[in-house]
Amino acid sequence: MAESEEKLLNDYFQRIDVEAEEIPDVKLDAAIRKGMQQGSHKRFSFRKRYAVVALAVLAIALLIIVPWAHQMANPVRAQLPPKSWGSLSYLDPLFLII
Amino acid sequence: MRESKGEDKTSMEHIINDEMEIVATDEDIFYELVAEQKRKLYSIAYSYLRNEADSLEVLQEATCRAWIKRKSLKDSERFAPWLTRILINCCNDELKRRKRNAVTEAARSDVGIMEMKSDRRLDMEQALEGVKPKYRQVLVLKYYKDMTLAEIAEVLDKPEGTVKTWLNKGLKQLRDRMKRKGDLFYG
Repeated sequence: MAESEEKLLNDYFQRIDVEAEEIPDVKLDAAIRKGMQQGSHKRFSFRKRYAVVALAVLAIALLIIVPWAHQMANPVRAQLPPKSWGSLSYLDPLFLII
Repeated sequence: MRESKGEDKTSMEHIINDEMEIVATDEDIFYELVAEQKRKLYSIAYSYLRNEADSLEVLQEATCRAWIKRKSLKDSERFAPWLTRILINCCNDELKRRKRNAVTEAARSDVGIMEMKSDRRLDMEQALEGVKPKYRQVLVLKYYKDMTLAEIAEVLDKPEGTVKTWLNKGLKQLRDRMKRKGDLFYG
């Protein structure tokens, strides 16, 4: 039984092969060239997209890092009200203790 | 003296060959490799799609995918089976796309083509279309490209035992479909 399927398949593919052989080399070569061009273009656009995303991430990171680094370098001192020592003088006993 | 001349000649040949290798770009080498397989690839695509324009398009798409992923191929000696696998994947993608647009495709195939094909051929085409893609690819490579099970296993990157199972299952599915068609038409 399997033999008949095999024979039918062989016959079928032989006819397909005859049809496929009709294609001229020029068309096949053109398809290969176009495929390579398409591949180069796709790869380039992928790289471009990758570069744009990388730049965007870098820009966002810089926007966060730069102000933070600036803040770390020059910490804002707490705005405390000036302390009043009153009428403390050199001769006060409290001053001498300090 | 004559020996030294011979040595000079071979060393010159080496230098020329090396230079030619440097001059030949990545693109040229890739093109040559694909061009060596072009008829085989096209015929496989044609056996799936049975249409010149679609087969050429699939060949183009396979070349495109292979060109993009060419650096992922570690062993250059496996280029041919690797490219064939890419092409079969492209064919399967195209068949999936056709299935999605089944109505339009059916309408298109009804025009003109039907009357040119024999009943027997149409039966086989329809039966093959009903076979699972993974079984069908084995049938194509075995009965169309006359590949051995080992060669098919290399192309599909599967163990030989799996390929043998797929071949038997594919034949069984094909037989069932042909039988069902026979029952349908001839009682």
